[in-house]
Amino acid sequence: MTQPFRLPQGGLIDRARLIHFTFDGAPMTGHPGDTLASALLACGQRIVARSLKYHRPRGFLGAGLEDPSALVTVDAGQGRIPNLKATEVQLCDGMIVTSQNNWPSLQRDVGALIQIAGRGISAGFYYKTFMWPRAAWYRWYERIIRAIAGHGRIDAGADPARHDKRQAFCEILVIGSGPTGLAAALTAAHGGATTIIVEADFLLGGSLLWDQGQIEGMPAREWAEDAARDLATLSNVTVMPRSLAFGHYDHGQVLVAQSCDAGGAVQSVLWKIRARRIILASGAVERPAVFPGNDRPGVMLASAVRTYLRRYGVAPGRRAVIAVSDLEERRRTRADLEAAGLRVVAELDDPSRISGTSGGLIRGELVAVRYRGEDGKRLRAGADLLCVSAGWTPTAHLAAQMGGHLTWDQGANCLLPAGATGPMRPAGGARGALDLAGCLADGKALAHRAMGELELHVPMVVPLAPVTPQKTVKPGTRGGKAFVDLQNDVTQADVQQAVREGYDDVELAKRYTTLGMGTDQGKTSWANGIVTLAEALGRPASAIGHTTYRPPYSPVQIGTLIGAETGTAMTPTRRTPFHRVFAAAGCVFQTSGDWLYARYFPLAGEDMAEAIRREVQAVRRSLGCVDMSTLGKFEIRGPDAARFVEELYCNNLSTLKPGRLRYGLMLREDGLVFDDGTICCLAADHYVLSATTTRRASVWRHLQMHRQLRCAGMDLVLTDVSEQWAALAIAGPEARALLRALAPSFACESADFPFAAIRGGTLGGDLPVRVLSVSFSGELSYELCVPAGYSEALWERVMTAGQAWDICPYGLEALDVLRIEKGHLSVGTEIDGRRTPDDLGLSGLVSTKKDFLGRALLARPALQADGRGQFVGLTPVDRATALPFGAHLSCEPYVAGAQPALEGHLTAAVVSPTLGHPIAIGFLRNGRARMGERLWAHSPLAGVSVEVEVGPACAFDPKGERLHG
Amino acid sequence: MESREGNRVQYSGAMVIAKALGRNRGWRPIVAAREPNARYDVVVIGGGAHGLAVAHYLAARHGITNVAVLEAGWIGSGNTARNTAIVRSDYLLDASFRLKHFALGLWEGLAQELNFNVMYSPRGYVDLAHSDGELEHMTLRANAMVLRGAEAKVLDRAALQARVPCLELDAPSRYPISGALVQEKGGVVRHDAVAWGFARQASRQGVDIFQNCPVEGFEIAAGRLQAVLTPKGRIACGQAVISVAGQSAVLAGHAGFELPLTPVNVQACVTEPVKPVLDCVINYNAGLSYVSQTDKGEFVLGGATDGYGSQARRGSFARLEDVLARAAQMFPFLSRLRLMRHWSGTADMTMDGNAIIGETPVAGLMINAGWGYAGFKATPAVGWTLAERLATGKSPDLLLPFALERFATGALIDDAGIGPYPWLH
Amino acid sequence: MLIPCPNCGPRAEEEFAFGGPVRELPPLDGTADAKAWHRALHGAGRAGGALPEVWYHHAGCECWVTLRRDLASHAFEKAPT
Ligand SMILES: Cc1cc2nc3c(=O)[nH]c(=O)nc-3n(C[C@H](O)[C@H](O)[C@H](O)COP(=O)(O)OP(=O)(O)OC[C@H]3O[C@@H](n4cnc5c(N)ncnc54)[C@H](O)[C@@H]3O)c2cc1C
Ligand SMILES: [Zn+2]
Repeated sequence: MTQPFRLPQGGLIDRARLIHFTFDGAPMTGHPGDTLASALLACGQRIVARSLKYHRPRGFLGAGLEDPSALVTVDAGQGRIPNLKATEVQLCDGMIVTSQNNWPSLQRDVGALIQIAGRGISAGFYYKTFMWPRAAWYRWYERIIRAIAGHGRIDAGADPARHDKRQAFCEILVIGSGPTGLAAALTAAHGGATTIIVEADFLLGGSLLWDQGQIEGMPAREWAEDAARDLATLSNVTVMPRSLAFGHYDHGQVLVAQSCDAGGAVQSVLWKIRARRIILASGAVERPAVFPGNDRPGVMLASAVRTYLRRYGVAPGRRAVIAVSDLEERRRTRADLEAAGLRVVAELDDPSRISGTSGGLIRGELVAVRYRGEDGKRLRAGADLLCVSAGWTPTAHLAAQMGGHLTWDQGANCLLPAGATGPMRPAGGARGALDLAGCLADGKALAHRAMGELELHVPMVVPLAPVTPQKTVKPGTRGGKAFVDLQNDVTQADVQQAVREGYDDVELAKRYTTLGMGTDQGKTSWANGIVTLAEALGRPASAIGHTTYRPPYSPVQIGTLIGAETGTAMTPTRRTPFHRVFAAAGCVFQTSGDWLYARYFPLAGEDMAEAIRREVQAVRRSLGCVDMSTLGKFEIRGPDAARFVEELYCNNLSTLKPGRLRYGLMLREDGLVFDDGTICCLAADHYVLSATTTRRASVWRHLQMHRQLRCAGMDLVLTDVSEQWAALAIAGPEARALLRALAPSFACESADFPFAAIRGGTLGGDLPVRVLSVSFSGELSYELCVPAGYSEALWERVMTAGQAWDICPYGLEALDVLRIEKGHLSVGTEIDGRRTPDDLGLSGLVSTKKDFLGRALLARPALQADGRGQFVGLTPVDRATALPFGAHLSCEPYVAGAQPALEGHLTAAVVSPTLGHPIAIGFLRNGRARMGERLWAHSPLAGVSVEVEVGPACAFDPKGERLHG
Repeated sequence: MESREGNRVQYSGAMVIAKALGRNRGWRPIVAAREPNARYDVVVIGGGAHGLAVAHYLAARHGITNVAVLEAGWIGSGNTARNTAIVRSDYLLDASFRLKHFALGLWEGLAQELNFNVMYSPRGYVDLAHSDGELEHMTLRANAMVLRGAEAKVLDRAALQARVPCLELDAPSRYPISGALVQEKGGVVRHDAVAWGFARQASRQGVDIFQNCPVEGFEIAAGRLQAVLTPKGRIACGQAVISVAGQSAVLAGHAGFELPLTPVNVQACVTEPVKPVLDCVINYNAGLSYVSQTDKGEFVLGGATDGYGSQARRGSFARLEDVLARAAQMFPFLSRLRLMRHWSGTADMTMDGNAIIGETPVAGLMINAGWGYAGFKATPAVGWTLAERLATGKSPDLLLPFALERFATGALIDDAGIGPYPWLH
Repeated sequence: MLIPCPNCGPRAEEEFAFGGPVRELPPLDGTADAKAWHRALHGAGRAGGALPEVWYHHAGCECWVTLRRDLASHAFEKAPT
């Protein structure tokens, strides 16, 4: 429970308070202000993970989200989250932390035996092996590999945490709060720009939190605190710590994942920020060095060591070797180490002088560094800490994500972004200006420039800081594994081998070796990867290019990305105006697309099949009612209304008189059937069209497109009134009796109100209504449309008056059975986007007297050819055997394993409650010419094949006499 | 420069060990580097999986080795490198089914044929139904498959739960799942390896493969292709085939004709790797989201197109939010995993959502385009049949329905019935 | 994307439905045959560059608006700065 490596003083931690957590079951402590990594180090836990491929022991290379190796599983009360970098986790009380990818334990991991295979498992070996015998890859090898691979384990339970999403807008967005970001935000904010500054860390300050330096006469860290306080007082600035800007998208959108306080309403918020200018002040990541044994726990980036010492008051070791290429950083590293009381046992000006490291016998952590002295002599220094740095890599990912190509700069010895990518301007470390003064100047200058561009103040010419030159550090060589990518265990030899095998493009090398494909996305490995490739190819690093930078910049929890749209709240559920009364009537609902539909209305003790049969019979014998509210309803008004409608439907509508309606087919431009519905003529200049529920939105869009883009000159108004009406159809022999009983304000006897007509008025003298005499069931039927707010009044009246005929509400299922008995079409099943009017048996509807959308392309030969599937009905020859759904038609009885010639298929099959035997409808090649022919309906899945007879699609009341009552 | 003979070495476990003993120094490039000939019998434009497969089968089945593959970037750099690698043949329409089913047969033996482990993993493709109606339609599809010689089954909820134990079926969900169609032979193949395997084998048989060599124009005389124009100069050819996926419209433009397609962005993403829990490919149909878990442990997810024309190869985040939300309906535990990377490719979407393969208005110039985000699975079949077409001058039956002229004649192959709105397919 | 609707100003792409490149469809006066329509409807192969397209602003003005956009960069002509 002690913290043996905690320094006696210093650090931005609250020593007065203890935080308790466990690591692999062992209780440990830290302080507020610690990350999980700093706390683990303070407790002396130097090995925290095993590497992916070789299961080598791994500790901490970095101190932030660039760290490739310290992946752990953390349970902070919301279930186990695998693969978190210990360096990015803010320590909280009660955290249960476990190591990953080891068995039986972190210290003694059997998986490490895989290293015996040595060079045999070098880059891409699996592409060359595991091929024998033929099916063994999947049966055998792959299973073993899968079992070995992966880092952490998922927590199978659902995520109890809540997440949310928000939008924000600003003039200037600053990403990062190091010296550059703070300078930029202060300048923008004091200049009056609406400003947002986001910072991934829980403290503002970036490198100011640990680096030495003075700003405006005060220590850098104090200046950062001052700046943060200053920003907090300004009303035009939003400061967002713990907010990772992870993605840069079109037209100035930046996505930010914000972690919220434990115990708050939500655990995280996904911010979608649109900014007019974005200052990318994301700093730079230190570059490790490539030498044998460079992955041992104890080998650390110099900046990470300094961070642990100065920000967290933790000593990452006792005896240190410094191998830092930059003079100033070397000096600071030594100063920080010595100030903290650590011993510096050797100092190297070039990490490539390191020839190897030695590890502890059991745990493998660093115990000594082997290197060449100034005079070339081989030396060895006992050390448990090796501070390395081969320079810095600008963090320009967010600029590159939008296609801004980075170029390798010989002098800066790293990849640099272009000056601007859309509205984004890299600044400071992110564009290679690495020194403190340069960063401050750059942040300020770019904020001024942005304000000038946005005309928030007069443009000022402010020079940018110069790019900092950096030394070249050659990757080390020979003997032992020298890692380029610590997370994916990619060695220098792997990269060299990839080149040898012709995988020499940077993208091919990445894919072949998996370099940079880990969860750290190669933040510490790509610079060395490029240099290694350049060496192997004998080309300059500038000729290598880089792989595509893809969001997210650092991994983001999927819960955050989904937000609150989980479970039943994923998308809105639409309910019809009758939903409440249906629910009260015991309706069983069914999800279909956006909607919750009434499926059936069971009586006590009834199952679905029984309920459907009863509902169908009620409609056929007496009276039923069904919700039609989900249909689209579109009004067209104006002198050109008729002309417009004529263009949209293939039917001849010139004979459609006011007060009448007609069944119509709408074709796509390419001549295939798009939708069916009714066309009601209320007056010569006033039409109402209906669209099926499925196609409602697309039909509306289609109407609008035709109206706006092709008939812009027409004088008419198009209005979507689908939401305004609630529609209940009453159907059955007693429908007219019920309509009469509802006391309409218009005559409703058959002579006055025939089939295919529309009437407007009131019911009972007060309920406004439009009534359509249309029928999907084949029975006498009226669709009663009332303003949506009156749906319940309509329902009350219909149910009350309907009692006289035992009115039976019915749902989708009965509706479907009724339409199948009648051979009526349904969008999605018969109208499936591949049918001509003739295929559907509706060529009679197609006008030859006018032009309409789809006419010309409907004439294409293949759409008129012989042999197309035609809509027919099918009945089992024995009138008894149920027809399997999803069956296909052929001329021969089914023989298992055979591949019969297929003649067509069923689109729906039911046992007709009305006819008392099974029926089906479907498409059959040249079907209409084959009435009476016998075929077989095969469903190998159901294991049945039934002999069927071809008949008309309409199995019940073929003459349609019942429509008229 | 490496000689063609450089890579005669046969891959095997023993060879891997032998080379390892030589510190892995003995390996040679999978593709020999050469200068182009003045003339080739066949020029394949586009070194994606499709183009490389054509080259391989030209050599392997027809002995035609005076072939060049011209690739604008690195081999497999297009959609081959970006796709979610799902292979299956669960299509309703005959033409769609047959070509992909033929491919499925070829995938089975491809590692041995190429002597390159392409890791065909028939772990099962599970297509979810969200209503009884959808399940009926899947039965129709599954029956069609079985009646055409494939295996397929339809599972009810209980059987589905047994097949995919980690699938959430009980929690309240927006689009409850009623069952699924399962094709056990469906699965995934290691996408990069397919390009590399075909390239290596083609190269070993004498095919020349040039990277960083985009075709920038055509030389056409009297309606007949004479040569292709590249930064490496004019390359004369007997025949050429355009197989450039997202760049199809551009290349057709160079050759002076238009194709009925629109380039559209399609996205995919991966999570961080975790220990295996999902052993199949699964597809959510109420708004598309398909999920599988790689051998490394990452969950790979994909969805529908971004819905508008694009050649940017990067998309908007909105589509991914859809994909992830749906994936979490199936697997709520995904909420606690982290998204590691998302990317895009340019899908060449046609007016019926299906590919265009065969003649173009230019004699001697073939096209293989319009595969959108569904063509990886067809790779070996495309290579096989197109090579036959090039070698024999006669289109195999499998290819006939995919002719470009079908849009003029109306003989469409519209599996989804969406119509001439490519970005909606 | 941020789509510059001429009626509503710049709005998020989620508010729009894409309607494809602008197509010069023949008039519906009975004169055009299948060939003409085939060319107009299917000849929409696009070779990049900024071309006019139509977008339906369903969550806004409900208008089909015509905008020119570069397919490679997604930049709209006359986009907001
Ligand atoms: C995100 C995504 C997911 C997908 N998922 C699946 C899936 O799960 N299953 C499936 O079956 N399919 C899937 N696909 C589709 C599949 O990737 C493609 O259909 C298939 O890869 C296309 O064939 P190809 O491999 O030859 O194309 P590509 O790999 O794109 O090859 C075309 C090549 O042509 C080159 N080229 C371009 N212009 C020129 C020129 N002028 N000269 C020379 N060369 C040129 C390109 O550089 C490229 O390498 C997906 C696609 C995407 C984008
Ligand atoms: Zn608008």
